[in-house]
Amino acid sequence: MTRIAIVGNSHVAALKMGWDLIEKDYPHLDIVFFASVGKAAHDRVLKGKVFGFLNPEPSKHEIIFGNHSERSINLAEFNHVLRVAEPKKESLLSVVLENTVVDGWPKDGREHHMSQSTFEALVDFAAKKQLISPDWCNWTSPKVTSCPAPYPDERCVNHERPTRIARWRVLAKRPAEMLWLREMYIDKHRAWAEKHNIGLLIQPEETIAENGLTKKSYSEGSFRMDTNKMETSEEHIHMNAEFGIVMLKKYFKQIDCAAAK
Amino acid sequence: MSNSPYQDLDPRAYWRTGVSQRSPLEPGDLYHPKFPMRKRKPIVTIGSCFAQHIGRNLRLAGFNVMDGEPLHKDFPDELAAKYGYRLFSARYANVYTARQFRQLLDEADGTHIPSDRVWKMGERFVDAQRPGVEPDGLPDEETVLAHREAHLRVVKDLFTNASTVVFTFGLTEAWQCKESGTVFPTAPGTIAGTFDPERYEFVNFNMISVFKDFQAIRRKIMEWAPGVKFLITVSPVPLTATASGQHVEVASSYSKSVLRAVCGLAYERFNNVDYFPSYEIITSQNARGAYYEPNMRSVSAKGVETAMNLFMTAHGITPKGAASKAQAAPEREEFDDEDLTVCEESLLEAFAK
Repeated sequence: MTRIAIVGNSHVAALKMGWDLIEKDYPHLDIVFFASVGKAAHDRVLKGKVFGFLNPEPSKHEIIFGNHSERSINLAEFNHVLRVAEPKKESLLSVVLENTVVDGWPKDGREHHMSQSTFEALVDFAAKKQLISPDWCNWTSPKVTSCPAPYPDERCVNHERPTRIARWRVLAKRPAEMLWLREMYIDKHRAWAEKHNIGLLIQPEETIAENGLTKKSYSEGSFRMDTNKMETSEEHIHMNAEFGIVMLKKYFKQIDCAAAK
Repeated sequence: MSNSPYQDLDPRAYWRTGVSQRSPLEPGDLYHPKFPMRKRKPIVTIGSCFAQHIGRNLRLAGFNVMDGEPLHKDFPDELAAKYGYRLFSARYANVYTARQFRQLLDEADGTHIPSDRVWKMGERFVDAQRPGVEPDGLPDEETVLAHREAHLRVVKDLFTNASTVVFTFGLTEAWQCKESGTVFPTAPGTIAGTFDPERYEFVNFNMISVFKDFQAIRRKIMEWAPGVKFLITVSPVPLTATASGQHVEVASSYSKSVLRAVCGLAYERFNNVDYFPSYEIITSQNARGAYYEPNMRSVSAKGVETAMNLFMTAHGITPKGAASKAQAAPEREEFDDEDLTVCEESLLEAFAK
């Protein structure tokens, strides 16, 4: 039996829903989900390999999903840990690309120029910034894998809100440029992660829409943990069970835990 | 019989009361602004290394220091500085001499094209007028020239919209192309390019030529921005090295004396030119060298703070002192002021025996 802990924020929901649908194909896996949302998610800490709400008294914001309602989880008891979903710092680059053209790309009304090497340095900074806290780095056991947040639903370009995905809307205006940036970003993120012995679970190509964001089919019918409701079409951030399945299957392949025959 | 004209002067006029009896590190009453600096009016900064300190501190104090080639605040100062961002109002890097400043304005105005515009750096290419802003170089000459054209548009736009230009005179020594007279911020071969004694020559500008250059600078900017004012300073940072044949201390003294004399003359002659005595504050005997780092060349954070506090107070702005430092801390806690100052001259030190 291989034991996997999947810890994180509201994006854990898609993986949990996906797991519920494919669990029977993986009898050799024991997965424990442990998620929290909102302010409470920031109250969780890592001490040694114990992760969770380590303060003696629960705060009024404390919300626990999964983990048999336990407030903490001892990760040393697992073979693998998947951290879901680190915010993507890739979107930081939108503030540059909005009014600056990088050499080799069409000017497209932008007033400033930037060299490829300068831009690459900025991408490297953003990728390094995405690296999870040093406390999670360089573990030999369990193996830690980081799963960045999914790209927003492709339809978000048609909406003004929420403002927190405004940066993605800027990038999605020029999909070819965004995909070029993404390739560079992932390479650098992977390099930083490998240096710190962290695995990286990247969103598979099959889930990416033409505009570089997530295909709507992976977002429709998503589920929010905090409201306990299915999402409406106006929600562009959270993904659905189908997305969870794709991500989990990729993850299992990465950690050499394919489905049982 | 009338009294001596030296009787009954203000205490600041006498060395004993103005300097000797002043508490150590008390900056004194060295500066009375000729005109006020308004926080909201657009300020453009340019000059030598020390101008970076002035620009940064003015910005921290809430002055409207223009940035024509900005890098978003999400990227840290250290990274920005490496590529020439946030050091001055545009990515022109250090402009050490008045001649280089004049040349930049003429180029932005389209009335002069410098020679040797692109230097080679290994297999890459850099802008000879600002070789440090692209430390990795650019892939070809065309790209360098395209960047330069975009930069020049920013330069003209900045100065056209300036209310006050803050210029720090840095050096009198430079290297120029013999044939064209084009000057460069660094000696060919220091960061990029190749030193060819047949093509390039050393020049040490005298007071007359520096003043003429400043007159031309002032005239040009006033054409673009008729109501503009100038705040000029002299960098208190001595030369890293001299090619004059003199001892570096003697050469520094000459260079700073020329620049200080030019500032004095410009201050006297032009109503829209004010002089801020940061040079005197930092080099004052009263400071006993405390405003320099142990290398006796770089200005310490305390020195910069003292000079800028005096400037703020003179303009009726309460210096934030430690508070302003604390506010700035999150973005730059790993770096001190010295680290943030980009100075190609330091490269000379690296090559020094």
